[in-house]
Amino acid sequence: MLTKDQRRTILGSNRHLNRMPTGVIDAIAEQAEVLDFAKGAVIFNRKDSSVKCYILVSGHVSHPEVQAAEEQFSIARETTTQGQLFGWAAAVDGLPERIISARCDVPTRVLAFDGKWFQDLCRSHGEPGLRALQDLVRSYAGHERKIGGRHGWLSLRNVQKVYDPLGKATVAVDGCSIEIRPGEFCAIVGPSGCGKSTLLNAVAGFDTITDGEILLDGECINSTKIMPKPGPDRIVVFQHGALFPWATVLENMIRGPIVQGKMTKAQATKRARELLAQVGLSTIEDRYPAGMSSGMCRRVEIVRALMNDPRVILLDEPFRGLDALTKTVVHNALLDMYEMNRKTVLFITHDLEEAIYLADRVLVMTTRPGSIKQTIFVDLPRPRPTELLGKEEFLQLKDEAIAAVHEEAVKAFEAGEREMA
Amino acid sequence: MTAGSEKASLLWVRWSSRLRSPVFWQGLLGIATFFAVWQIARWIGWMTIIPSPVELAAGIPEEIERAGYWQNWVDSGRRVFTGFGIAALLAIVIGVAMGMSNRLRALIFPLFEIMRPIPPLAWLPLAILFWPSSELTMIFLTFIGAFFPILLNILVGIEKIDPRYKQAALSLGSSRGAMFRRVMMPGALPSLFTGLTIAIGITWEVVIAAEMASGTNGLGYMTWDSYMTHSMVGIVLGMLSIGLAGMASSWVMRLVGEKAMPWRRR
Repeated sequence: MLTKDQRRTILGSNRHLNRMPTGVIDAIAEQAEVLDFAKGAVIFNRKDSSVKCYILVSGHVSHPEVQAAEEQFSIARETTTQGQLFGWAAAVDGLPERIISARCDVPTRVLAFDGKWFQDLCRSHGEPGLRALQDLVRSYAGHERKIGGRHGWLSLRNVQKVYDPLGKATVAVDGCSIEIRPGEFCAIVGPSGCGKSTLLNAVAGFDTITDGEILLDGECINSTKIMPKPGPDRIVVFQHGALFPWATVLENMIRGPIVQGKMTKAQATKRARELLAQVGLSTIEDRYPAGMSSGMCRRVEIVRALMNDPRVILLDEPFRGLDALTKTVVHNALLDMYEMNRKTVLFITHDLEEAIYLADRVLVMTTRPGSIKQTIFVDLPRPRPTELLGKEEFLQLKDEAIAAVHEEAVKAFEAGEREMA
Repeated sequence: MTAGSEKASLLWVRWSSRLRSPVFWQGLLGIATFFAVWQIARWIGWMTIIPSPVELAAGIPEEIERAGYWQNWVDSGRRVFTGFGIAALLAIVIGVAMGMSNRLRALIFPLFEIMRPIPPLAWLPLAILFWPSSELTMIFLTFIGAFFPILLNILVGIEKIDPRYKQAALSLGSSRGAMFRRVMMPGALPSLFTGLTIAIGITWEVVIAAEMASGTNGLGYMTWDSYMTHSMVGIVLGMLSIGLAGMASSWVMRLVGEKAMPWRRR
């Protein structure tokens, strides 16, 4: 067996963990269990559900899925150094399954600890713990992109936006850091005027930021140094819809790929018809937006976004102004499309219930200045049927979320009142 | 069903529904009442200067058969559409340029703001002195009448395009050219057609006045000439002709607009 000091030394030799507060390492040393694996044993497989993280004590673990090592993202083909962390997926918010497997080439000893517990541990250590966890997640997201070949890792780092039109600086967003993994459905909820749309505009490239940077798949798309440029890798579905009223549904669909030169007109038309057929909208391809219901327009607009094969879909309160019945229909259409094609989604809304129903993770944003105050993990399985809205587990999650958000909302409201007075 | 027969049947449906709608018959009733009141007024001895509808109905065929009546339509129409066409062309070119470039707009707009309130007919003395023929003078006046409403409506149209559409186009990867062709142009079309419809009405007003003042033919001249020769039927026929011409022009404009903007068709 290993003594506590030995464990602490091993953990301390990990370059991620040694940056964390000492309390974290102590707690892991206390809690982690020592596991021994024989030669040839499988510690975990690809697509296993991710529960535990591992620190190598001795031995040799290989990851056959890794093609090439990427030092900057802590990606290795094998884990051979004492103190090295593997099985990251468990340490990452809401990632349900492993992306790579781990096999023992020789008899191997590891320290294992629960991933969820580890996340909570980090968060309980305030700002330093949170930052360390974020670093870890950041490394991981890059890792996931490289290994899984998946696009759409969105990384907002310390983003700030100050509007200063008349010398009266208004801080819309400050110190906002968000990591969104490829394929994750992430919602940002907040009262109107809290800066959620500012954030979305910054990601979309419609607006500049005054500090920090935004990266998409490790590439800088917005910072103080560059002029942001909107592009087809980040398609926005707007609050009131932006289907071109002068073009038919089909023309709206095919325009993007054609102007980008990605497809010929015939190819685009074929693809558009396929997509429309998949969502049951084949009959409306020759209609103009003015002749359709707003629910239908929103559905077409979401399909139009998919048509461009973006890395991230940005939804700016797309369901605002729809009646409740239409809303559920469009929600389900959106969920279906998400199942069909797991793109990264950044979803902005002021409706908490909608956010919980749709997203994997709900970030609560508060106003003055806008920043992320709370994260709610939505641990509901997909696909999510409409009946879920009435189920106990959903209601419970919603109640918890409302309680959590309410406190912040009251605080923000009072702060606002004070400012007014 | 072929496209042609489908169109024909659509037209039939449209007309039959129009004939069945009370709005159509109410309009007809209004016109009939107007003439009836006019006729009755004559019967009880009012407005004796003006010929009654019955006298008009009797006198008009003769007036129409007189040589040159249809030529007047052609002459006025030619002036209206030449002036209007040049105005539309220039206004669209300048308006689009101003709409796309803020610098150009800042340069030209104040000048136009000064020139715009000058009524077209106030240009008449200057135009007579400047242009070598009365034909050119009249075309110039119709041009002035049409130019500003078209230009202003284009500017408003471009300005009023919802920024969402521009953002959406940008995020779909549109180039500057595609943005212009696919967003700015269709987005400004409704406003452009409002401008064109207003302008065509103004050109008829202007051309009639110009013909009365300095013309030797055309519907306006015909009306004035009838006054000079004390032909009451001629005066009223002239007025009616001008009314019909204006109405037909607006109707053509609307038809072209519907063709150009299929998404606004009901």
